[in-house]
Amino acid sequence: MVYNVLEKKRLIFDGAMGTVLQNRGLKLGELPESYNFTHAEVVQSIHRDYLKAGANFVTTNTFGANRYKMQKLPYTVEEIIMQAAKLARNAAKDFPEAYVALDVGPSGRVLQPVGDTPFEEVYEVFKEQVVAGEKAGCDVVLFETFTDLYELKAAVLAAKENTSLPIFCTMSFEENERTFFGTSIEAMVLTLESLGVQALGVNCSLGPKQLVPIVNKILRYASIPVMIQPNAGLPTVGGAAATYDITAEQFAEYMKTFAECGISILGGCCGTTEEYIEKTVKKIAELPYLFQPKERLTGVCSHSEAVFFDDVVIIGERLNPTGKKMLQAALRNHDMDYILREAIMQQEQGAHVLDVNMGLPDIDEVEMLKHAVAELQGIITLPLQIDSSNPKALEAAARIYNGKPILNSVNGKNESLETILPIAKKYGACVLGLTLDEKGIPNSAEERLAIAEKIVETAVQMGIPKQDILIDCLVVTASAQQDLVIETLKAVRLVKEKLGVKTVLGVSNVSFGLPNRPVINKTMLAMALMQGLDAPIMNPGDAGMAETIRAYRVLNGKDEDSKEYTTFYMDAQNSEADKVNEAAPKESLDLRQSIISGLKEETKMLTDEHLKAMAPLEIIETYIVPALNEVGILYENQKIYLPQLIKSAEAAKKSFEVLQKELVKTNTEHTLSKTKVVLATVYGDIHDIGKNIVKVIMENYNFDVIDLGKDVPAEKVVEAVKSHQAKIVGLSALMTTTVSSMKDTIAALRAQCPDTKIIVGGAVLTKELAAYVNADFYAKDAMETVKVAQNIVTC
Amino acid sequence: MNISSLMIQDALRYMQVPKSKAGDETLQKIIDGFNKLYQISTPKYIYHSFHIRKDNLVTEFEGTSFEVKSSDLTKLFESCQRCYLLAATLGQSVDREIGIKQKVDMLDAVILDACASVLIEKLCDEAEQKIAAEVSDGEFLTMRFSPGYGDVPLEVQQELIEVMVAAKKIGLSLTYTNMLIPTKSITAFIGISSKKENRMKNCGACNLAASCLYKERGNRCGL
Repeated sequence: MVYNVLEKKRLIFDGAMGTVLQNRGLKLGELPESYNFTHAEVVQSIHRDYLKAGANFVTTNTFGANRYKMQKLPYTVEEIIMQAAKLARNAAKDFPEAYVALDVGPSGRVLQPVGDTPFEEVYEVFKEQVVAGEKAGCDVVLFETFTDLYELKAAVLAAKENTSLPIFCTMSFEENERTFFGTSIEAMVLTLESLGVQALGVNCSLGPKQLVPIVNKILRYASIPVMIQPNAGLPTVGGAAATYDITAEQFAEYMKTFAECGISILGGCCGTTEEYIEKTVKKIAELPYLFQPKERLTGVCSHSEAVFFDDVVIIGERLNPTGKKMLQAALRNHDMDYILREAIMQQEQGAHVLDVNMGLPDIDEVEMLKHAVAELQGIITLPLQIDSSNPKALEAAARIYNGKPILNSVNGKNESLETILPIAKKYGACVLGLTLDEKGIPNSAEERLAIAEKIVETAVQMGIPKQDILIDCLVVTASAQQDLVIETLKAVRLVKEKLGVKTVLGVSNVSFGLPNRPVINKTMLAMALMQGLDAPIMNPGDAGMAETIRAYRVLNGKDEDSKEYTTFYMDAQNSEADKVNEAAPKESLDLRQSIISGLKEETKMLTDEHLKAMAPLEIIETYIVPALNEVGILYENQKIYLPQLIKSAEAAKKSFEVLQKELVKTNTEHTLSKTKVVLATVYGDIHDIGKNIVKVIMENYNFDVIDLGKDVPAEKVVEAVKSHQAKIVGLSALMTTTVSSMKDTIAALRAQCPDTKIIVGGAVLTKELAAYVNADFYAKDAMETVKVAQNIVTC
Repeated sequence: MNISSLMIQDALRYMQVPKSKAGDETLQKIIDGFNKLYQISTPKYIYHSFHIRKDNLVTEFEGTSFEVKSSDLTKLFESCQRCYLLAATLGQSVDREIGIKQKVDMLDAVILDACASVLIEKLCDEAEQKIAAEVSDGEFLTMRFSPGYGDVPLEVQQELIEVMVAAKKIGLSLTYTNMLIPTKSITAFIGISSKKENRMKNCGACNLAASCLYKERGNRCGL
């Protein structure tokens, strides 16, 4: 059992397989896994050489043995893994203390939304590998050379849920201390540790010398054994069949230093041979080994950024539809862009974590929350706090989250503890505990502490580290329960002191029903921070609260030399001055002209101004429509070009946003009757900026655009057209190879939505190709799409 | 970092704006776009030389299992005994930034996208200069010829990336339909010829020929 030796002795892995096979005749581009069958004795002898050199572990020759990559071989994934494991086990026969690691590299696919492969598909691919590996008698699974944390999470879940094998993981970092996908060291450690892997670390990409800072950083955060497998230095020639610049002796010297620093598992990657391992084993033989786990820190992360709760953490509250009509409308219309913009704005305003709640009575919250989290993590780098009262929604979102989230929330009710905590444990999340139970929110601070204690104890019993639990002592409104406000604050202090966990509060709840809420909010925040509040859930755009936090960080010494404070107010002064300078000469502009000139801020201001005297629809007809018509003519006559066209569209959009808000406020949104258009970049095509330009322009010409995104399967287009009863579909394809996919989509539409008119566009499209794919119209650019669509409407 | 007027001109070309018609604001935004990309991109390239064997329409790359069936490639390699494979990328963060900008301001996004297209070509130029410095006197580079161009199918991306170990070395991946991720990436063949070659791309082999605005106006795109 690997568990018998892990954390008890320093373990040695083997060196490279791929580059050694290349030296023995494997051609570039040839599948190394084929050698398990064609050159079985070679593979077995490589294993044996490593064991003779003193390795405890040999790694099966199965780096790429997944369904995607093995299509060219006449064997199933299971057959390949069985054969490879047999060779490793045969080699290990004469070595009583040898273990066999199932080698699993990245799938070669990129997960959505960056790429085109669904999370659950790649999970199935890894599942097939690890299940075969366990069946073949492997002792441990090694996920190595990963650069996408998301893919690695799918792999870890596949192993955790379908085998009982210990899991070792390594990722490959560049010298900027990030992987190709932008994963940081902190994010890797937080995510993998929480998922419950047995060892983690780094391999490939760099030599031992370049890995020093990366390894040191991993050691700073990791509380489980750390593993490294460096290359034999850096490649000496730029090409593919590389040789490396570090000798076995130098390699061993570095490995000795790593062992001294506390690395538990050592091995080699590209370019290393049995000589490198042998020298390493000899060099470190005399070094004593003592595994000293670091204490865990409270931290959450996205795939790229980690947030530790050692300073005030602002949790942005605005992605929650409760009481927010615009967000409610956006959710009902599946307007992801609105949600993403709201998220980006909170990030810019200084939020560190974003709360995401998608709960509305009339929408499918499980799907919506999952979808929102998937979209948000494709764009935003802030960690997310997944917020739902529906455990199914929490689990669905936690499963596909790329990093370590906070789950909002569990409470002291037994039912809640039994449902929510296992989700947090399984997916490695922090969990927010509310101090309420079957009897509601208790009045006294002591009773709230008792509930917090119950939550912490139950979680720890389930194996969730205390550091992953945050407690919300619950803010009540001062207007209704004035005497309880102070109990909340007391409870924060008690929880901090007695339980030593981090605390969270939804601060602004306190001011409901009172005038001048911002003053109450920022005062409450200051009081709570003094009691030891770690993370306020708040609107990061609330100037008063943001100001309080800036000042607090000066006074408690976190903002060293008041640097951030000073910089902030210097910048603010400068931008005030800029504003005054800019605003001056444009006073005489009218709304029409402002849209034509594409001035966003002025357009917004002027729209607000007009709303005082005019109805929204009147503003649209008097100013916006004439402006947009003029822009269209200017563009057509090549008086203006694409940048100005988009700029005007963005300005008009600002105006529409203001008017939309007004319409929502007065509940007259349905008075704007718009023609629905479904837009999509066809299946197989991942380029969508052109389609998105079309969207921005069309939205200004009274079209309600349902944007399905990129890489959209035909059936999804059909489904959307049906459910929205759209009269017009716009399809985009950039590459010749995806024109056939366009043709298939149109065929499906013709069969199932015969009345829908189809417009096509994209870089390779021509009138002839449009006819070939059986479209109704070809449009060469966004403006022409508008014209064609307008003609369809008036016909 | 240096931003040449040629780079600005190229960015305008990607947006189909004549140089004389670009306002100061657009020009400034292009400069900002380049600066942003210099800050966030992680440009990387790899190249490697292979001896080639030509058998009718098939080009074989020695020491590998890679072969390409294409008359255009055979034509390109007419006077070549060897060639370079090149793979280059600006990295994942550029895609992400263009994605973010599309949510906030489409104009910024379009400009950033155009600037990124300029930079990835420039990165390939840089790699090509290194290659040019490696070849002997009397050896000349052919033009850069990428999969998807002419009759070289996109499918060859798969083996090209395997042979170059481009996933491990510079983080290139493919979609099912053989498009590169990150999207601002290029793979290409560059022949080493015994005679001086015309390095301009040929409209006849270009997939965009039918819809190309430059061609319509009687111009060439300049690539």
